[in-house]
Amino acid sequence: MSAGIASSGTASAAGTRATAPLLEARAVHTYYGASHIVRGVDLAIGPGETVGLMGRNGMGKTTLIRSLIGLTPIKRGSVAVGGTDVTGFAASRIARLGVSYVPEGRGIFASLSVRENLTLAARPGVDGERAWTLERVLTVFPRLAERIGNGGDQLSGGEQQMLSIGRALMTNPRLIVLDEATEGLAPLVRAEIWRTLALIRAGGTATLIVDKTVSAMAEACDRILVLVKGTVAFEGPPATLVADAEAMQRHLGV
Amino acid sequence: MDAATLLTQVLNGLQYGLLLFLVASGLTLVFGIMGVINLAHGSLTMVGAYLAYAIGAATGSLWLALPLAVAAGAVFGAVLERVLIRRFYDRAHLDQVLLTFALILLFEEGRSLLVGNDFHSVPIPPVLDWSVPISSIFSYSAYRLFVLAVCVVIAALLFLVIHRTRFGGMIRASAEKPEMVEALGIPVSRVQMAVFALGTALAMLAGALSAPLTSVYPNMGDGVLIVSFVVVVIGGIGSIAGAFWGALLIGLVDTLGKALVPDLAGIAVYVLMAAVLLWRPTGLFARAA
Repeated sequence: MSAGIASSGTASAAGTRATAPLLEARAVHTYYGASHIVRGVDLAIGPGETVGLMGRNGMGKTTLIRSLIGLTPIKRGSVAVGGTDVTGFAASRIARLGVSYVPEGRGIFASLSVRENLTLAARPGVDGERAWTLERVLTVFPRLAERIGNGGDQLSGGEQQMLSIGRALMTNPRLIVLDEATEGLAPLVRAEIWRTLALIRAGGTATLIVDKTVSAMAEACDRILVLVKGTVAFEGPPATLVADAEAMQRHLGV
Repeated sequence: MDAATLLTQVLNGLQYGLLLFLVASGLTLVFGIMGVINLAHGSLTMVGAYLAYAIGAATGSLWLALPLAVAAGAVFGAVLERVLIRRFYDRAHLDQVLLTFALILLFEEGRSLLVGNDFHSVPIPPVLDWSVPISSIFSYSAYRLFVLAVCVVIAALLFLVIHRTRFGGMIRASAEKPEMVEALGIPVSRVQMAVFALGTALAMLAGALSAPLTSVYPNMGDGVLIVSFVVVVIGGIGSIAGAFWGALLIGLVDTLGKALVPDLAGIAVYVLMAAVLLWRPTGLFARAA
C-alpha cells in the first residue's frame, strides 16, 4: 500500500487532499435479482495508486466495478469518490467526479467516427486542467491518428482498445477503471496496452485494473485484490500473492 | 395526364413527403433512442395546426405561429418527457401504447374544450397567396414552395446537427450504448429529454405549416401518425436518413398514386411498405446489427 494513503500526517507535496482516498467502498453488497453477487467488499484506492482486481470468472469482478461507478445499483454499503458520498448517484455524476471507464468489450460507438468517439465526452479534469488533449492521445496512439476519420466499427480489436482507453483519458480522470483491457488481443498489442497503462500511472492517474495476466499485473500494480465468490479473499502487494503458490492455485487457477 | 399536371403532382408529393419527414424524424428518434412508441406523435401535429389556427385568428397572420409552434413544442415536449414519458422507458410497449393513446384522448378533448369540433380553414399569408409561374402553361402555389423550402432547410439543419455536432454524437451514441454514454459522464436522461423536445417541436411545426393546406379538424393527427409509422418502418427504425428517403418515397407514391390510379390510392402506401419489408425486413437504412 502506498504511504500517501496510509498516514495522514506525513504531508506529501500534493498537500492534504492527497490523504483522502480517491475511491472508497465500504461493505458493498450488490444483487442481480435474487443472486447475491458482491458480498461485503471494502476497497480503497489512493490518488495515483494502481490497484489490480483478480479472480476467476463469475467471482463478481465486473459487478463490483459496475457497482463502484454507478452502473449497477448497490443494495447495501457505501461508495465515496474524492470524499463525496456517491451511493445511489447516476453513473454520469460519478464520472464527472473524475472516474472514467474502459469496459469489457470496449464499448466503442460504432456509429461514431474515431474522432467523435474521442471528443464526445472530452472535458477538463476536476482540477480544471486538460492534461490529456486530442493531440496528446493521438501522440500516444499513433494508430488512432491514422484512423481518425474511420467509423468505430472499422477498427481492429487492438485499435478499439486504444480508442476506448484514449476516450477515457479525454475526460481527464483521476481514476480509470479498466475491465479486461488486454483480453483477446495479440501479444504485441497487449504489450502496447501495458506500456500505456504504465504511462498513465507515471502521469499520476489512479487505475483499477481487472486482468487475468498475473505477470503483467504483478509488474503494473501497487496492490492486488483477489475476489472469491463476491468477497475479498486476498489483499496485498503483488509479490506476496505471487509468492503464495497455494493461494494462486486456489483463487486464480494458475 | 399532361406534363404540367404531372409536375404539379410531383411537387405536391415532394412537399407532402417533406412534411411527413418532419413528423417521422421525431418519431424515429424517440423510438430508436428511448424505445418508446409514441402514439400521440401525430396528435402533436394537430396541436401545432390548431396553434397556427388560433394565432392566425388572433393576429391575422401565420408568421408568428411558425416560430411559436417550434418554441412551444420544445417546451411542451420537454415537460411531457420529464413528467410522463420518462417513467415508461423501462416498461413494456403495451404500457407505452396505453399511455400515449391516453395522451391522444387528452389532447383531442383539450382541443374540443378550447376550440370546439368545427373544421376551420387557415388563410395562407397574403405574401405567399399567389402562384409562381414556372412555364407559360404551368404555375405553382407560392405557399407550397415556401413549405417545401422550409422543410428542406430543416432537414439539412437536422442532418448537420445529428452528424456534425457533439450533441448529435451524443444522440447517436445514446441510441447505440446508453450505458457507456452515461459512464463517460454524459447524463443520458438529458439527451432523451432534448430528443423528445426536438421531436415535439418538429411535429408541431409540421402541423402549423400544413394548417393552411389541409385546414384544421378533429383527429387530424391520426392519419399522419399511421403514415409516419409506415415511413419509420420503411426507412429503418432510428435512422434519420431512412426517415428522409422513406418520407419522400411515401409522399410521391401516395400523391402520384391518387392522381394516376385513384382506385388503388388507399393501398399504394401499404403495398409499398410490404414490398420494402419483403426485400429488407429491417428497412432501407437500418444499421447492420
